Amino acid sequence: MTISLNYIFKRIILALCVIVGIVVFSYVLILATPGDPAVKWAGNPRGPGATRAVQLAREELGLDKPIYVQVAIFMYNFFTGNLGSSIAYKGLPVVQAIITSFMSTFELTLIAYIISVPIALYLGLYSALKRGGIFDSIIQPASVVLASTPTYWLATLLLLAFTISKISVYGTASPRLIAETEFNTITGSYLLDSILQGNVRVFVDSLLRMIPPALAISVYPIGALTRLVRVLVAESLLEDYVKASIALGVERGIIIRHFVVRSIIPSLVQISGLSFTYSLIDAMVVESIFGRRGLGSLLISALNTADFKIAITLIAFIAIFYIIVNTLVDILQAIIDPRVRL
Amino acid sequence: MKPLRTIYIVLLAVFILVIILIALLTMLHQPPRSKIVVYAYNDDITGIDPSLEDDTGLVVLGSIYETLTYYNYTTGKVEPRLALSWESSEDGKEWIFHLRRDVVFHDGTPFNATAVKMSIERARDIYRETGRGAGYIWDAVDEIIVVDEYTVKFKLKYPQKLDLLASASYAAYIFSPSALEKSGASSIYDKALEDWFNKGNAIGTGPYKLVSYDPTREIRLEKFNKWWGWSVVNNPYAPDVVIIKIVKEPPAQYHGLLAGEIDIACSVPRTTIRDLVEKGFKVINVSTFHNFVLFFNTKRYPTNISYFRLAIAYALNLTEIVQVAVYGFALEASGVIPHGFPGHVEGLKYNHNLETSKKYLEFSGVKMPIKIELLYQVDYEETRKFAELFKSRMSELGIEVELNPQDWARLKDIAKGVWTSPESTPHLILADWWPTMPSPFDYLYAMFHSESKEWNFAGYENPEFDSLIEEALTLEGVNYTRALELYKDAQILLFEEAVAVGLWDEIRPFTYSSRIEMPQEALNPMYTFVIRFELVSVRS
Amino acid sequence: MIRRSFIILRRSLRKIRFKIGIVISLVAIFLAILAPYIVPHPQEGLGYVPRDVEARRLLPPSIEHIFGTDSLGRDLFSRVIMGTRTALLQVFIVITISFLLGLLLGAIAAYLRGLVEVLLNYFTEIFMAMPTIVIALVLRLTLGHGIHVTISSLIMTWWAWYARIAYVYARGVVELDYVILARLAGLHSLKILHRHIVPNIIQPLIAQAITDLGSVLLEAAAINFLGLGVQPGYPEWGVILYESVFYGGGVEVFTQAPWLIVFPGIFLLLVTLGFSLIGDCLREEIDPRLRRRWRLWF
Repeated sequence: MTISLNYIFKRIILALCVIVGIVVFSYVLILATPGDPAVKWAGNPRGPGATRAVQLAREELGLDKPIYVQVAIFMYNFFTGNLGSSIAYKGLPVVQAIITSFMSTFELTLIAYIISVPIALYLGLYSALKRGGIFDSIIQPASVVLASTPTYWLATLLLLAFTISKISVYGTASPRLIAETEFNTITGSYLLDSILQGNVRVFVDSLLRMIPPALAISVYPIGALTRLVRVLVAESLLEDYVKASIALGVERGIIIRHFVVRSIIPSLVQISGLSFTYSLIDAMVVESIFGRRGLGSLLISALNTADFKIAITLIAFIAIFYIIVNTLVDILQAIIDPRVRL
Repeated sequence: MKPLRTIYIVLLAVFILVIILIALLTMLHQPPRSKIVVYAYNDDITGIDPSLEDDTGLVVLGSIYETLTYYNYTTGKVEPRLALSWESSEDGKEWIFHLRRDVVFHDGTPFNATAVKMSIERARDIYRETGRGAGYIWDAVDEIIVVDEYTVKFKLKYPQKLDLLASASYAAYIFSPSALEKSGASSIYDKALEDWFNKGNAIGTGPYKLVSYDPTREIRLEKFNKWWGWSVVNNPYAPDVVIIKIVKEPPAQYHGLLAGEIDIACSVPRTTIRDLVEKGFKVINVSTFHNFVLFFNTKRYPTNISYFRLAIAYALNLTEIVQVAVYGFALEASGVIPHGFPGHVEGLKYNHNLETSKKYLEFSGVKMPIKIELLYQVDYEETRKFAELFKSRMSELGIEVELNPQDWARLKDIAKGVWTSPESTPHLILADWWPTMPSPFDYLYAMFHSESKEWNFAGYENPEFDSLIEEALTLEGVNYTRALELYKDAQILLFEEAVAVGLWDEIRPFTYSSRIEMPQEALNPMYTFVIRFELVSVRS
Repeated sequence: MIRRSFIILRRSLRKIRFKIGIVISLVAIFLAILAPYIVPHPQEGLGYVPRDVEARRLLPPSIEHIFGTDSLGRDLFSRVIMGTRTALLQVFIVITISFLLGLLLGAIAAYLRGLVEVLLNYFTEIFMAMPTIVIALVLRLTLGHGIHVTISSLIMTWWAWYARIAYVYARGVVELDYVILARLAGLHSLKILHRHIVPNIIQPLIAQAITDLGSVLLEAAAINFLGLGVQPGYPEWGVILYESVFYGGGVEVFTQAPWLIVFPGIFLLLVTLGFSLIGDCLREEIDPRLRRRWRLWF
């Protein structure tokens, strides 16, 4: 179980290098796209002096400097958290915009995973225990189907169903309710904000509204994780110590709870973590279907208005999140399974 | 595993029960203490600086600030607002405005000539310095003199119809000088003031004041009880609180209306209007000054040949286009200036005639089949539908159309290229426009003047046209009728050369619930999307 | 190697899942090839708007229009069936190119070691961390609309997976005794690569490729669904969904024409399912060891 600090250190350094690489890559990618942030920064001027205004704006944004200087400046600002105000919304700091949007998407995906992980655990476990039985022969193909379903399609169907039944599920919370109860957005996560402000009605409203999109997002993890659990449990049942405990007559329940479940938890957590980042992207798509404000809508606004600050930071943010999860998972896996060392 | 499973299921059940209980309890809420109106607007707010804002911020500005005069779109004349009366000299170069008395700003400071001078100078000077904002409407203003507390004199470099200009939807708002102190800015030109405004602060004279500002979610306004106009409007049922909620998706606005979460929606899907009316909602159709124009790249083959352009113009079936792309919610355009706007000319429509079109094609000498590129916006469903329709119809003439959909920012970037690299700029560009100032110059200059390199997507360079509209601008202040005639001549030039084809003038339906009453006057095409909430009555 | 493949195929064929997957895939390929000939309105399938738009908009499924019509009057059945062609095209191009690129780069990196190895690891990490949809968003802005955007953005993210797998397995092979011997004997590098390394790593890569067919299809449709790739009017399942949700303000679909969502989605699901089933079975047979490498499947 000994793992050298050296290894952790190496992993972290690698992660940092990759993050730097991502930021550079994103910067070049975004700046290569057509669209002029300077125009938006200047306020979309329409009069005769428009050209001059745009030129001034370009200088303010530092876009007239050579590209490597731009990248260096941006990198510095990025790591010191000093990104200034966004181009798309004057007066709104970039960092604030990204964090509030992220919280919204994050809470949605989190709810989806709170729903799906226990379900997957239960289904996978029983499917493996009753291998070959009726339960298993339904669950196994069902999980493949679930994992093959396009999330956005399902989201659209759900929206359709709710629309027909006249229940309002659009957006994150009812506008009137927000108005009546003087609700303010603090962190961007409506659940958290409503708790912080003691606003029960908005809490309930936003929670209920979160259910259809969360259901859509949870379908893929349920399918994929069930398959995973099934295989892991089947494998762990073949382990010597499990066979021994069966032979020794240990009670079935205890075997399952103590040996099997305990042994698969690490792998399950790892894979759930990785799959979570994948689902974040899914969530961004589902959000736009349900008209919720979050990373998806922010990214689209940012690219629409050529707001490179938000766009690059956002892309870097997502990628960094992914890298962090990966690194943690790697370190975890290295701790548990010393054979795996890249 | 059994005990674990039972615990989990029981916990889940309890959790769900608790949620349901709370939900039920909250349904028995008391009616709100104040009258609230929720207005769904379909775009993010780009900023609320009264002198510099040039874009969607208008929605908010129009309710919290006021201009000196107000444009009445039915009569085409301006009415008193912050100014009670005005007169101009013979040569149109001197204007005197008499201001309304007993008007206060939201923070209690008095409204007077100093505030007017400060606000207008700020708009004008920042424009002159940096080219930002719509301050060019004040470009003719040389000097602003505070004659006394309620009288302002304007000295102009050239004659202008200043009372008309003062009613503009941008750069003409009066803010309080106390904003300087509150923002900690050293002068009105200090960036700190602009930042202070855009962070969500406002001190205007309007019937509503700004309480909270989140440009991507909602903006909250509260009734300003000391507004001068309450006695005039005489509406005790006006809302106490107005929420401008950003709802970008039309279906969301539709659902919001149905669910009672939104009271007024500016952009429900047009196909749902009939359904809403049946359910008891009301609609006001506003003939906006928002129009869509198809520009021809006059610097690239084959659209540089006027016969080719005319051929396409006559092949367009505006009736079909309006029906299919806009579901009938538009007027077929006549020229590039929309219906109801000063300077609009009737009869500048190319009557759909495929025979004429084919003849022009022959004259043009362009060999079929030919491939041309259409650049259009993805942001509007109308433009996307138009593009697909256009492509199918042109193929019947032997013209293959390559579609190039872009978002607005990209489109502008690409379209501007007509001046630097016309050979790689698309042949046709579909763009939309709405006015800043109530003068045809706004449209004609921006779209077709040879100096307007940011917005002249046709790459049109005609000195005759340029001088026509320049002359007309100065004539506005002296002989308005003659000025309009010159504008008409300029448009006829455009028509004969088919530089651009006006496609449709948008009719925007505003849908609202029967919970409120909204008169037609609450909406004004000059101030697109602004709702005069002081005229709205909350009944329930 | 060939014998082994046969064994794997035979064993897979015993499973019902595999057989269902093969059937679905074959039907899909069949439809894709024959689409323009078996479809009632091939022109509309390609996006042409019919003359009598008004009369034909949003018709429910009938004998004349088996799946109904869309918001511009085009026959949905034609569009969906012809969409099979686009779907398979996208998937095969993306996978083939990513596969070849990844195989090449991974094998070379493992063989050459040193700086090349480090660089490859570095770049694969960066590219794997980039979400495909974001890349598609950006590419669309630079390249304009079109299927090339979908394909390019997918290749840009997927090659890294294959490179990583190829690298991992090639590393294992490179340290085998006979490969070391071959090098010492002065055998030409390319020959070593070709004869020894590639054959040993190709099987897990192929397994991965086949499993990925489903995921790539879903992602490609997702990119088109967001309007980032193909233009509206094109025969592609994702973009038909895009038209239903984001056109006509989306409400048209829900209240008047749910068939526009149902049919393309079902096709997407079925074809993805078919591919996934095949991939699953093959993977199980090829290398039970692979089950440990769960990370690679995500």
